[in-house]
Amino acid sequence: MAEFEHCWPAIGHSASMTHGADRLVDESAAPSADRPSWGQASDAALVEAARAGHTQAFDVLVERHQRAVYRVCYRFAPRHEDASDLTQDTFLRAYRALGSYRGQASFKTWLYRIAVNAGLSRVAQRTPATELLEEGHLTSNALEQTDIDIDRHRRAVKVRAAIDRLPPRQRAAIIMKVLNDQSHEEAARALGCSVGTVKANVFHALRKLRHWLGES
Amino acid sequence: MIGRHLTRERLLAAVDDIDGSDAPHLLACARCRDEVASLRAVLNEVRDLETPEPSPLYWDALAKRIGAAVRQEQHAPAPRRAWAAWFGWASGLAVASSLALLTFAPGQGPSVSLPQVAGIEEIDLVTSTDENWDLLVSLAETGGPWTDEDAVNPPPGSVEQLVAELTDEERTTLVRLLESERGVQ
Repeated sequence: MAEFEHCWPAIGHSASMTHGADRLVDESAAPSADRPSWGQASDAALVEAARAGHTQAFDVLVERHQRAVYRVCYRFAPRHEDASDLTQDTFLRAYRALGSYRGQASFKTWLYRIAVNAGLSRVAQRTPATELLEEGHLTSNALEQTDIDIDRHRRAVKVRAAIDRLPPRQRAAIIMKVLNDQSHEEAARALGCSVGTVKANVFHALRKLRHWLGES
Repeated sequence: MIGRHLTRERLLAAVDDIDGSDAPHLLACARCRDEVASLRAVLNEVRDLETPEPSPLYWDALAKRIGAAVRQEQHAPAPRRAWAAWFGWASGLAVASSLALLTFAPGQGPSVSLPQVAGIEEIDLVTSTDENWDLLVSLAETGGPWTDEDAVNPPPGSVEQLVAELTDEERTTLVRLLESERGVQ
């Protein structure tokens, strides 16, 4: 909060500010020549500002983290349109839950967790969108590709399909640990479980993938 | 000497190539060596999956789209949540019951006769089998799952969500009321 006040002394002291569903945006507190840019503020300061009704501060958080969130979402919804929808859903969920964010985890980790929850919900609701990756949909210019490219593409399709078959927790662990290249500790924070659980899920997931990919 | 085979954790560490502490064992033990090699091959296949990078213009468009959705959400009338109705009922019941306790408990409080509220006296709070009620009591007593992560999980309208939104003062009051309901001194 101190950092936030340092950045925008006017915010939080404006009589026109209200909290809750009827938040008002006090544009007078927006960045100007004599105030630091929103883009230079820390995530914590931006969260405080967004809570106070400055949607522009939330815009900066979106711009800052949308790529990372999209990448996680793409692992759950491997179609660009679906991944975009899931990314939007993730940020909307985060916006609604801003009041309960207490800063114990980094904002990015918090977003990751929301993205994983949203992704798992989507997986539970829909059939994985792997149909676009089936052989019949291999790129239209497949003839221009080398045999090696096609083989690699086919193998990638099989790997994705195998990941889609994993139980939700194992799938989420593989996505965060391997595809998102996080440490076990980071993945545990993002998944809301212990490091041991992440390791166990990753291990079992790898063994299942080995079995399924070996079959194919 | 091979000794015992590597544990799951040590196998995973070897797959990740975190340290070389198990290298001597892996040199000597074909079974563990094969296990690590095959798991590492799968790991690399998964790791090599590509995430197509959208056009640079896409990010601007996505940010604007999310911003528009957030603003639409901000200006939409807040729907009456299920928990609001439940909380209204529960808090009313708690206050009424507390007043009843204060009024009728021997030697406590002023002797004020309050009008009967239809239905309330029929509910046995102590032996309630209402899971939501028990959860609310438990959450209020223990401080609840107040971590950032847990705050994300409760679905809208759940009791956890309701309690998470209470201020410390409201929570203290709630604990006091609930304890008085349960006869805790």
